Amino acid sequence: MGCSTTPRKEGISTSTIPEQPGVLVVKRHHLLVRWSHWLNVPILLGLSLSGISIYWSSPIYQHTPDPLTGNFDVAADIGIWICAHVPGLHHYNSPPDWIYSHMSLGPGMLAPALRIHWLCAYSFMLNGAMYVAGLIAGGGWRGLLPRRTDLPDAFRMIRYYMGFPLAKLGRRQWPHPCFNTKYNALQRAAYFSVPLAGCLSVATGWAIHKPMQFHSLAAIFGGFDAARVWHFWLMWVFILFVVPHVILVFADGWDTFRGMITGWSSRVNRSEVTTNEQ
Amino acid sequence: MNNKPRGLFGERPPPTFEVDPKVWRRRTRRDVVLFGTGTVAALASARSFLPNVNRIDDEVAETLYSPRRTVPTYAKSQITPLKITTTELLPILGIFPDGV
Repeated sequence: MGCSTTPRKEGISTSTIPEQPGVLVVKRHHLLVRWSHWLNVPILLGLSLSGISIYWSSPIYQHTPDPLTGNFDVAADIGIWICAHVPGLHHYNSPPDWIYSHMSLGPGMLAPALRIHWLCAYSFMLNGAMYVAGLIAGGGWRGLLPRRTDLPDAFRMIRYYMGFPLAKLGRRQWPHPCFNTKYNALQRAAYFSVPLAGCLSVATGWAIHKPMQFHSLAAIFGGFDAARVWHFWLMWVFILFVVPHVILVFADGWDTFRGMITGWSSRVNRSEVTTNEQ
Repeated sequence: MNNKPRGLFGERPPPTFEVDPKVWRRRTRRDVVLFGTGTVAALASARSFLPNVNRIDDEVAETLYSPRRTVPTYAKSQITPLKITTTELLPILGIFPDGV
């Protein structure tokens, strides 16, 4: 959101001022958007955990078998490296399985993992439809559209984030760039890209799941094996989005978190009130 | 958002209201409690709920089954004899059924 917040009642026309001082609140998220947002938590978790279980049965990234261990899986190599270098893991009983044991549903779970993956995939598609319906009903889709000023605004935000820790350490003022839009350029890029990644995940998922029926779809992604690579890295797009998203929400404070539960925020931008008066 | 909306794609200002602080706190508390209760209930019921619903892909496949499905199908006249029979194939795969 923008940089300035108003003290209560500032900028409100006299006709709207009640006798008792109130809290100025602004509607942030439509009910369907909030529902779909929170439903994404178990759905994406289920998709990732079951997806890695499925990956385990046939890893995409392989190398020639190690002459000593016979290992050919890059993820197993990473597990071996983690167990060798992370304190406390030196005695882990099966280092090649470390990644899978900690990031999937567990060993011997291919059949349940496939079923759970499909359940979550159908839920993900329905949830995506609900999100789109919420964006349309609440008009929130306009806030996600890219703008011509996005590139310079994105650089301003990057500069702000990069300078923020140093400014904190040096106890200097480091003002947040001002924007008159719901989201800043970086947020908009992220919130616009994630639904696109969702669509691509669904498309690559269908290409993998039904390669006979959707062979044309698989061909668009470069074939069945390439569609698996796309699908795998799209999972990482979600993970790389979710981690900073959660960190920034906690850094931003209770109001942002509450806004996604109640739909309302008490952090009101001065320009929003002024515009509502017009 | 101090600019007036421009066309279909212009961002509209979100609705703002002034509410009584008590009402605001009560509604926030209600929504947060509902959210927490829903989360706990969903987690608690997931174990019994999952086995019943994780067959969804089979059900979708059965629902979509139709003679005009996009899986390639062939008329009987198009069927040709197998180039290699099962009896010939099994020894190649290292499988030797009894009596062979």
